[in-house]
Amino acid sequence: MTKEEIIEKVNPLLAEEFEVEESEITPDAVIKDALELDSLSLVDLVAVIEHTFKVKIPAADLPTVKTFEDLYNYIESHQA
Amino acid sequence: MLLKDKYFEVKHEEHLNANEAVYLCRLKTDCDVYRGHFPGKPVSPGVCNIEMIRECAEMLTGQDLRIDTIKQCRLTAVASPSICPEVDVRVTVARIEGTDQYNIIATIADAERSYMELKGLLVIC
Amino acid sequence: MLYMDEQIFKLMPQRDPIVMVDAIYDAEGDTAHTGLTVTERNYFIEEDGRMAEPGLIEHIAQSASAFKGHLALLAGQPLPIGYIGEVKKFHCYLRPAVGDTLTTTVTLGAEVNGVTLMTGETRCGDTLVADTQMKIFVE
Repeated sequence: MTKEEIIEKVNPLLAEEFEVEESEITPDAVIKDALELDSLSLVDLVAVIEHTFKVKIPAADLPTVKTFEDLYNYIESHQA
Repeated sequence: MLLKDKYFEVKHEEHLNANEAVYLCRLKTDCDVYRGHFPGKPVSPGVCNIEMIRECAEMLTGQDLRIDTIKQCRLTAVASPSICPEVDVRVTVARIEGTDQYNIIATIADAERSYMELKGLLVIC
Repeated sequence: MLYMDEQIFKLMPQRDPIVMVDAIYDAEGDTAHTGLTVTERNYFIEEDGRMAEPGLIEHIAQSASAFKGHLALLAGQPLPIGYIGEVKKFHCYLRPAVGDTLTTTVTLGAEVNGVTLMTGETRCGDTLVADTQMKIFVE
């Protein structure tokens, strides 16, 4: 999948799962703030990505995935 | 009711309007549930707090209500009779027109923190 | 059958009067099958002889807790104490009655910082009783 395809697929899914407007999901936005993630809902993000792209984000890698741009790049480089 | 006067007691109730009330509930330290949850380490079971919300909703509506759906229930802090001897159970219901169902939003909190936030669907039985 | 009755106590810290799982039939990969026979002594049985819905949530949560206990035992790790962090999309289709035997499929999902996502589905015979997603927080 190209990065554009990843963005097109993941943004609506995240907007639905975390009940935010898709317009809040911009490449530079910080994921935790935009999706209002806390210690409980972080696992939902990991699950959505794993389920949709078969890409597992291990806990050790999470600190490197700060913005949506980071997330798109992570999925792009780790997809099967 | 299953847990009223056994797991919790209502000390005071404040009706904000026909669909919203706050029940000040005391969590009873001598409830037998703490023998097993957990031995030597009493923690209020999250599911007992969910049941406490259902029973408060029954008091508010005057109806026998079953839990049909829990859309989401977040347990945001560990509760126990020593951590929070008394909690506010705030219940808001909205009858879904043309059905025997209520949407419910409820929270359990004290002055310090929030313990539970629940959104769901109750049905009259 | 992997564990039944008191053998479950090796896997989880909950004790009487709030033990809500009495069998683990099998466990493979991320999935386990558990059971509970509903007796009149069950903590969540109401005056009409049926279980209050939170009892089903606790049954599913303890099924996951016991499954995680089984995995810890196999790995030679200490027994985890799990709390429910979130219940999501829980649906109760019917309240089981005294004498019913529940069978439950629990599937463990993603895990981040001690929070495990799981799904549970409880049946009585072929009839769906309840299903839910849940997050279990392990201390």
